[in-house]
Amino acid sequence: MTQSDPGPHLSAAAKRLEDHARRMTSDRTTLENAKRLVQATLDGTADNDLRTKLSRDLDEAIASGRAVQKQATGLASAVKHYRRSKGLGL
Amino acid sequence: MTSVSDIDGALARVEEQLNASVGLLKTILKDVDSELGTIAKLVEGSRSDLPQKVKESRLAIRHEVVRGRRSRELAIGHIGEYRAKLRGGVDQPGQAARPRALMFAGKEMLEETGKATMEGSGEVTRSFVASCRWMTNINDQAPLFTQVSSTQVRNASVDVIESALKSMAAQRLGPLIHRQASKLSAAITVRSIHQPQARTTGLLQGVGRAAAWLIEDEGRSEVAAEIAIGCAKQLALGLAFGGVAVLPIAFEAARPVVKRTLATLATRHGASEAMAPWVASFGAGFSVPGAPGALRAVIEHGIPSSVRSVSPLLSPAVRQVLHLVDKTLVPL
Repeated sequence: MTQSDPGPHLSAAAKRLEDHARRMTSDRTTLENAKRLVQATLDGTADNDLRTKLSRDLDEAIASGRAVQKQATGLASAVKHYRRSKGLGL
Repeated sequence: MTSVSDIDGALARVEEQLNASVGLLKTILKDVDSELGTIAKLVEGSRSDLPQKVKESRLAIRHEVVRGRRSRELAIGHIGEYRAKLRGGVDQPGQAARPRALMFAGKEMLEETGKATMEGSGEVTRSFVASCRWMTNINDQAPLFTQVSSTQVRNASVDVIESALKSMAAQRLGPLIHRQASKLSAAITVRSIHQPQARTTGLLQGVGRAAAWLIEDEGRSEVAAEIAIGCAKQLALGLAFGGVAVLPIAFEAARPVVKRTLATLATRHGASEAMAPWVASFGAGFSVPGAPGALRAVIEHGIPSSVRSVSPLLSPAVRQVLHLVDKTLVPL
């Protein structure tokens, strides 16, 4: 990796960031399913307290996952834009 | 109607997914951090605004990952507690329900200190958080806790606490930290004699390293930090020396003290000086073998009158602890 030709490296880095963002998207789906499972499982039982607590925790987990995804995506775009604006590499 | 085993099974699946999710977050944080470092190096000196964005993104991602881990681990804790309850174990010390519930209580405490830190109560809280690191490490030494999610508790605090140590060094709290760390180390040594474990030795070395690092600074805010460390020590030693049966009691006893100390420190730093000695003593009391049993008696019989009434039945060591507890809790 050389400082004189960072273009390809930046491009690869942006791609990896996008990959991470995708993994977070998949994780979010898993969590959303988990939330539905919790709700369905505890629905109609006397365990409303747990249902409420878990829903709140999972909502926050989902929101944080979304924020990580957004940051990673945003940065990947910024890196790509930077690379293009500087006319670097591929 | 959904059966108990259906609920338990479903919650077990959710718990598993959450554990995987926590693992993913950890990986993401590590990878993204490394990625951002690479990017920053590649564009260094380019006068682009990208390095600033990289810095901001790194902070934002770290913040969100911490938040995400916390919520996932809270959910895991809630599920663990509830599943234990489903199995009917919560009222029987020694069953699997206890450690999970206790670790969850520990996490909540870390949460509280974390919030206080973020709300700007300053160096004292940060010091306390650092002490909690030791607390969670000690928890991890107990064979009991290796069966449960002590790693989650420890990991939940690692980032915050490492910065707390740095902060303490920057604030020149060295001698005090060293003194407290030495006491803590001695207590752990006692434990390690009875239950030699390689990881206990590792912990001692860790404390020693932290102490060596911090001692180079001159001390200030000693009293405040002493209180903070005393509280953590109280928890840590209580857990380290206590058996399964006493752990909930130790925790329950410690929580109000910790909360109260934090509140005092956060609102009126000057008032903390008077609290230091008894908090430190209380912490030290836990280092005496038999202390947990004594504390249980205190809790069951009240303070201070019945302490005196039960003390003749107890061993000298326990009486010493009772004396400390009695003396130190009165100011509350």
